[in-house]
Amino acid sequence: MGILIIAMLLGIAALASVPLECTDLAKVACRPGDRSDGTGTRYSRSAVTQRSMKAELAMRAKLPGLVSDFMKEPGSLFLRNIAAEQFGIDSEDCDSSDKTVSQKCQSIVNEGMVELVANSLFENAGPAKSRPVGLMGVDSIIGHKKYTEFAKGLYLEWMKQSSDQERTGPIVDRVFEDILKDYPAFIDSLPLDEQMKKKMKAKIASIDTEIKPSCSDIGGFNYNVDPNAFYFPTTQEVHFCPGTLMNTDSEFTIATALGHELGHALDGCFIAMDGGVYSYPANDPLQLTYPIPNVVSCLRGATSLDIQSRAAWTEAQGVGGGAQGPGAPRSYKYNSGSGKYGSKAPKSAAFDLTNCVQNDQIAEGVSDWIGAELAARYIKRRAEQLKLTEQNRRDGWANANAHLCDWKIPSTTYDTHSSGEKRINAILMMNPSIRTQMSCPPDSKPENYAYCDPNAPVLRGGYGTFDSPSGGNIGVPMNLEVIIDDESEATTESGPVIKRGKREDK
Amino acid sequence: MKSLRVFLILALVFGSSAFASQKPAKPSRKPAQVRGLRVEVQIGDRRSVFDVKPADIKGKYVMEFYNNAGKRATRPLTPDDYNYLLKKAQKLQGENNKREFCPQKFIRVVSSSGEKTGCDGAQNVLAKDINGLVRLLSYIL
Repeated sequence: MGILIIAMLLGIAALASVPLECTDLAKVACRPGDRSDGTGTRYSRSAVTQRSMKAELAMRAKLPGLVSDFMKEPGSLFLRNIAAEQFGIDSEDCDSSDKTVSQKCQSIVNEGMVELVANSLFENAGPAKSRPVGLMGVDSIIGHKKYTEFAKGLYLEWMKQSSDQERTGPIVDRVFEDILKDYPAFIDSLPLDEQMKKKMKAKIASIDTEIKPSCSDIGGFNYNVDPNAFYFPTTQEVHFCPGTLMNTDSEFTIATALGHELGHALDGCFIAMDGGVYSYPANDPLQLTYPIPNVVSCLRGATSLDIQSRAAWTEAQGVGGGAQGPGAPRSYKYNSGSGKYGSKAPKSAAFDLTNCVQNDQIAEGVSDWIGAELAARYIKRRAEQLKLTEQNRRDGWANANAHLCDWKIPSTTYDTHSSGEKRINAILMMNPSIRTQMSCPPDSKPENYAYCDPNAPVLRGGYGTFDSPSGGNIGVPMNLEVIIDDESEATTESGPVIKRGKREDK
Repeated sequence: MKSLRVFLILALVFGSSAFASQKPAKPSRKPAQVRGLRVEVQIGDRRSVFDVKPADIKGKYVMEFYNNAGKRATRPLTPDDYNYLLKKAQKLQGENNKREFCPQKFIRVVSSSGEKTGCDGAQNVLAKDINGLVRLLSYIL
């Protein structure tokens, strides 16, 4: 009895000694407050708000002078007349028939313009403002080319002030350059034939080596404040918005974000762009033959990101029913080409990039996975250079995706990303290299997640029904069926043929 | 009495199987009528949606906004604003931009005149006009 109690106590003590970063990294990541990790700091929301408000106030103070100078420019005459018509409509001082705008009218116009510009620049920073003129009037001003150029210049000016770009810009450039250099070694580590490796490396070599620091401020976001980054496949450019650096200057975050964006070059969807690396067979519903298919399969499972297609998500919302709940066999449905979820493309042309990116979370999922692999390589080296402590490394990996804590997707909306908690816990926290870097004890792996091992057994060419939910790295049982969402005909003549089978354990 | 029971059972079995074999009538799919206007903006990982809604039973027009950073907002519109926005959307001209060229940077407009897609930053007429529409909606926000 005594031995049993001692064993239990020892067990409890061992559990208590396991750092939370090893069992629930997301929980640590989402704790409030600033967190420094030896490479930089992840700033709390209140600190970010303070910084952005400070930058905004400084910019607001400059606006009247900048607007006044701009309106005096000879090239602004036409815009000035439009503005006088709109803002001065109720003022005798602004009789539009009078070609010389009076001083008093000019000040009415300038005030209106300042409010207009402030509204465009700081749309997320304050409460809704009263509108000085009707919507048509606003449109006649903000749609004018001269105004657009002016507003863009102000935006860039504010970006410089708010994001401390002179200091952080070179850090981002260095991390980007180093990760790009690491990419071929990562490709070499994958279980691929030499020809595929060569093609992948060629694609990576053609990525634009200059990172793009500017992002448009369109659509209710302001990327001076809101973090964002993306890979643009047609030009092979990586854009890294300055708002990201308002929240953090930690190299863990920068490396993870850039790794993710670079991961898009080889994700399940963009890998098919440029035609050189990979072409999906006509009867492949998405990436059944993706070069590392077991990673894709694993990411779709509940022990990883539990990736959803838009069709399956829609079904889960109540359209057509479907089994739900953790571990429940799910029907992953992919539309093979036409109908309400698909494009108007013929069924034989099953692969469609637009639908791939927008209707399936796999592009983001694979990028998360590659991003973690690349960031882990960079940070491992960097941590040695900087002699980071164990706590630094744990804090750093908690910082890496902390911005996902603010990622809120309405439950009624399908998003191309998996939940932030899964992206942190199932991907970063389960990565073996990252676990080693955080000095996580080998037996501290949480049971509900698994690392997606590229060297795990492969069911190439078709994911069938897996009988064992806990089968190695593959994940939950998953029925994959291809639906042809076309009312007029439901033929499989040109559609994919899915083989069902049991996964062979190692 | 016994034969009547057998008859009833048989009638039930055949009746139900006959009923079951009937294919359920497919609900007739009518083209969805779009009232108002929806604009979706995808820039990298960020997605925002503007819904310009027709008058409710109280005769009020609103624009609803949400994005995947958790921001939600509702802004009142005057009938003139509403009509102006609708006309602006309906007047969008030009060939839809292919989203294959801008899968991470596009704007999609759905109105009663159909769906229009423009690549953000592209220099064609449709993309520029769509961009202008979003800037106006962002201004209202």
